[in-house]
Amino acid sequence: MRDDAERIRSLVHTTIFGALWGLIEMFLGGYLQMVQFPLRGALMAAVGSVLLCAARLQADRPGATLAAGAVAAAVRLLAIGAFKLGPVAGIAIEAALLEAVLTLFGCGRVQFMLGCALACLEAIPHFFVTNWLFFGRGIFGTYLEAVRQMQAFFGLPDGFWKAVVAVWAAAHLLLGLSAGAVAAALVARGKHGR
Amino acid sequence: MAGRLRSGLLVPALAAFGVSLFLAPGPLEALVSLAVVSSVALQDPGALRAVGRPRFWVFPALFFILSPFFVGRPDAVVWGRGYSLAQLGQGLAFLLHAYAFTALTALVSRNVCARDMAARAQAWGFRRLGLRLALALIAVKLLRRMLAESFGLYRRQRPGAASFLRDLPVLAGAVAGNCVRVAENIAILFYVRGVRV
Repeated sequence: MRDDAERIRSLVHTTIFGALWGLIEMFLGGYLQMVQFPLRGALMAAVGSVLLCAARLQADRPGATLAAGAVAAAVRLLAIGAFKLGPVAGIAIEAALLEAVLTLFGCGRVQFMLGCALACLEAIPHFFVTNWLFFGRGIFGTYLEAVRQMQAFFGLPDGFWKAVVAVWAAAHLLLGLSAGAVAAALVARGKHGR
Repeated sequence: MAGRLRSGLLVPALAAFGVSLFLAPGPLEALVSLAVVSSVALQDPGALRAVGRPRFWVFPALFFILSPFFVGRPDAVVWGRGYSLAQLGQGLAFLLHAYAFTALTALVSRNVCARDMAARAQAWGFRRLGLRLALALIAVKLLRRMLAESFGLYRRQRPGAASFLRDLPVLAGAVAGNCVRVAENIAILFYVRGVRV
């Protein structure tokens, strides 16, 4: 009887939190995409990972995070007129990363920090994969050549673009750690609440 | 709209797009992308109209039209400057690929219905998945109303940008709290009604 109630609770909580993330992705994510906001992928990953951690706190069982992510992806996928494969794939990968961390190491502050950081860093390979999907194989050669020409035009050193990429990656990490801190605060609140 | 997709055309279109991902940019890749676009046009011309908004394409088009001034070996002169027509051709192939991809995703999106997916999942024996999808559909309506109310109230209380940004954790806490409340209410309803999961 108690197990039934726990199963229902787990299913409903993960679905509701997943649907909330899907909705936020639809509206906030869609808006950030429209205004071409910088680091929008990492920002949305940060929001999503905090929601997934909150869902995991409500239903701490293996697969719960992945299930919430699948619901978010389905809501984003089926948003009429708003279909974008990039965000949907991003949601699925971020949920899988968080699921792996929380299933392997359990729920806790450090685990939430690690999981959120990984989810936000996912935006980096995501950029390359979506560009490959969108424009095809040769796009990176064109990007690199354009960057080289711009470096030469502005008289910047040869490897300047690597420094830009490093700053970009650091910004992703920072956002991930901030999301982790918020999720860790949820853990603290949950412990005080109990 | 559900059920309009013809798998006889969709599967080759998806396969062709998959092949195009591994082709070097050039005439062959452009031809394959064109075949994908034609397949979409045959199945649902509305999908092409849906992704045809010029605002979406103007920046990538400008990038690929202007980049041959700087990238690639110049083989022509435009406005007194060296210009690479080969690079322009490659850029147009990139654009066509992007258009094919967007049209294909719009086709799938326009023709897949969530209710159908939920019903089909249940019929195929994935009862939990069907239940989840059906619940998500109901929840989206409830959550949308809850989000609009929470955000409206928060915005009215904090008209300035500084207080709006400073107190964002308050909004996040309220939304998460309301979300838990919605979930608890539905869970109780499921339990009372004897829904088996």
